[in-house]
Amino acid sequence: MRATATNEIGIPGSAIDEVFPFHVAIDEQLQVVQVGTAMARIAPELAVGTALVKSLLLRRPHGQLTIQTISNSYDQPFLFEVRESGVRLRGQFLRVPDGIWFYLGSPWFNSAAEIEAAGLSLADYPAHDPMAELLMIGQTQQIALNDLHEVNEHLERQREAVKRTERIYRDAIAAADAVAYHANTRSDRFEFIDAGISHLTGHNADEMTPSLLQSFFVETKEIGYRGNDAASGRPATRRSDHRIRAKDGSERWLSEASVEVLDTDGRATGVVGILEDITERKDKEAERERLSVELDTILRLSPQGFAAFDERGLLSYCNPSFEEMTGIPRTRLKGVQLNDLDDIFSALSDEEPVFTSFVDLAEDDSDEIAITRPRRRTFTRSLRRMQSATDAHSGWVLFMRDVTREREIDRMKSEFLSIAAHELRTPMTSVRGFAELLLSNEYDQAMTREIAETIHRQSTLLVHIVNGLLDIARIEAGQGEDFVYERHNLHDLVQQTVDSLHIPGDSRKVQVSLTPGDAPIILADAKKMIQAMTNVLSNAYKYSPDGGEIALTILRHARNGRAEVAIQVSDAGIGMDETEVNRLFERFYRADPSGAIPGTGLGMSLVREIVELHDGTIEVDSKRGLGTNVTVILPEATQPDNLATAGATR
Amino acid sequence: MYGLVNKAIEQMVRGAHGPEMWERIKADADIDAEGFISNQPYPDEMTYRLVAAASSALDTPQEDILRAFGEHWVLHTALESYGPMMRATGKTLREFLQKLPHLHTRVELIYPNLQPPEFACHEISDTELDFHYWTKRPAGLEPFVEGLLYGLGKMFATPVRVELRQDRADGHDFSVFRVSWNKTD
Repeated sequence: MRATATNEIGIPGSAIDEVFPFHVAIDEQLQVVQVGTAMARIAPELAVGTALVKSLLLRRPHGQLTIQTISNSYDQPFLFEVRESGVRLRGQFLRVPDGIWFYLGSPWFNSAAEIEAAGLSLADYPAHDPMAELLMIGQTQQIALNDLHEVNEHLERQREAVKRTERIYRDAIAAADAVAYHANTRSDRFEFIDAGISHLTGHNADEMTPSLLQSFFVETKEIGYRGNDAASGRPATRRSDHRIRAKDGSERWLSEASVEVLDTDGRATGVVGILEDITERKDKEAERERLSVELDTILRLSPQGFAAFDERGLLSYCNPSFEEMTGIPRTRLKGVQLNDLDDIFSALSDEEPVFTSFVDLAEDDSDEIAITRPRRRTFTRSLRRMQSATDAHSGWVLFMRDVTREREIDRMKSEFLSIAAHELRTPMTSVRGFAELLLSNEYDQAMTREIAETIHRQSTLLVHIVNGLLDIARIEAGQGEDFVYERHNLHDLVQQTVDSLHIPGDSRKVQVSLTPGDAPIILADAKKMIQAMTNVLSNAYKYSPDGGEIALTILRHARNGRAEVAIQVSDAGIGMDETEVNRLFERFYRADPSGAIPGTGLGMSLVREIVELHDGTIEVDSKRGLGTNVTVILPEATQPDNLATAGATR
Repeated sequence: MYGLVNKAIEQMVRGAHGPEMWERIKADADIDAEGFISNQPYPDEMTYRLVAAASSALDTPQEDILRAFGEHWVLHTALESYGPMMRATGKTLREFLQKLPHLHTRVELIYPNLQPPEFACHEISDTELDFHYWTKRPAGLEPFVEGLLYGLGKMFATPVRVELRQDRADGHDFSVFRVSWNKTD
């Protein structure tokens, strides 16, 4: 039968089985006349001579399978189900001569696994059958679907993560009392802005726009800006501080940090940012700045040296006085180790350092150091530990005070007391000694008188010394406050001085040379000035015991644009060498060490005090054995207006 | 290349070196895709960048990466995705290699934008053949093909030796691999 059927359509049986391995041929009685090899495997009961419907159940079209049905639906697909296995067949009937119908079908599966479960493989399908391709397409779509699910799950996880992050940021922003926003700069509207903006501006967040928000800014300070980078797609970022004036007129400071929003082409479409109320911080900063300026000014003006060191002992600040004390510019001092200051101060001293090393200098302790370069100076140093309340900052502050003058005054006082005691003791000893002689012995009248005269002379010297000391002390203490400055004709003052001068046992007259023309006018305390000139003239007499002219010359000249008058007193006396001239103004210094010339050694010291309080200077030119010129130079009060000026300077 | 290829690289790296290494390689290759869709075409350049980044991150020559990827492609990607199709292509290594062109004919229908390679077998003996390989892609994928051949050997439990006897890198139109195996029966 099989051979008959295939012969009818002119195709060898083996060939049609290769092309349609799932075929079955039936006759007009629906009896099977031929079965494909693959069909026989999925429907073993489908044997030649059996009724087709015994093995196969028609699923489509509906109805009973008859030759009439097959004829009517000749060009339609017929679906059968193998009764035994449930495998579905999809195919088409082909009528060949002699009433033979071929059903050219193939089993339909939805997955490769179903094919294998049915005991088949894709190799059982003929090459023209698209089942393999359909399954591959299905499989590919399934894989793609799985991929999409996977990507979707991933995105879902990301979305959750983004939501969590957003919640965290929102909480953080809320905790920071900040306002987050997303501004669409193209449409000038906020895609989003926290409701908190209404608290800052007094304007409803729902109606807020970027340009409206900007209208609240009255001052903007740009803190930082980084432009976008087209190559990497990095958007521009900006940090600014804004002073805003709210609707109610109150002012606040807002800190804004923002970043551009770019579209896929890298064009800016908007800005996202955060606004933070930093009013309190700004106020504190301003207060801190004010305090800093105050402190800086105080430290700059302070004659004391200050240097601050950080917790590592590195110099972080020093004031100009400290700079001057070390002789090193601040730029070089910055970062110097506290301990290295030992070397710096050692280098400023030609002598062996006598100060305590910083290593040994205890905290909150003080010591004293002396340097010799550029000049001899003495400083006290105090090191204080500094510690902030929160322990966040620590370090040291070094405080240095220049005590050179104090130490010099101390030294001079000691020296002066020693000399004064010595000078007072000499006549006192004499007075005491001669008084004892008178008390313990009987002398004749002449001797008694001589002793009494000695006592008188020595006590007079004592009185002069004490008076001289008191004059100096008074002038030093008063600093000229008790002087009565008035305009005086210098010629008159000189004449008064010369007229009142009386040198016992010396008949020489002072040779006075006055300035030609109008007499110079000086602003002076007449009494003090006469005292000074008397002292100078008195010395000229005393130190020219062998005679010679005593001359007083008044000269006018100008120095540094100032009209001055010079009172020059010359003698041809014993004169002084340079060393003696340099010591002339020391108290109790006597150019006559023999003591033959009477005097207290205080006269020239007093002259200098008086002249300097008259804004004048004194110059001495002397040669041993040739005589001495003492020149007192005073400012000339040429205009009445100078009165006030001169007086004001004292 | 289709996403299936990139996905296979991801699978291989994740399986052998963990997800952190994959994220690092992806970042090094400047790829920010969160996943690949198998039937979506991606630029070849992306795949090359992934291979280069993997080579650098794993401190392994690119040839070794490609070879390992070839094996992984057969034993995991192809078998897991298209097992029945693979099995239907041949019952032995020889048969599979001979029918490989048919398999690619079907694959080309499913992936219309695919530029599949072309293969041809030239029998040498019972246990060896010359496997010819053409592609429109630049030279350098030969180690990948070599890996495919090793993978197929494992799939059919027929360990193979592969020798590159002619290389496109030397200016030839196609490359030739000599594939040999021990006689099993």
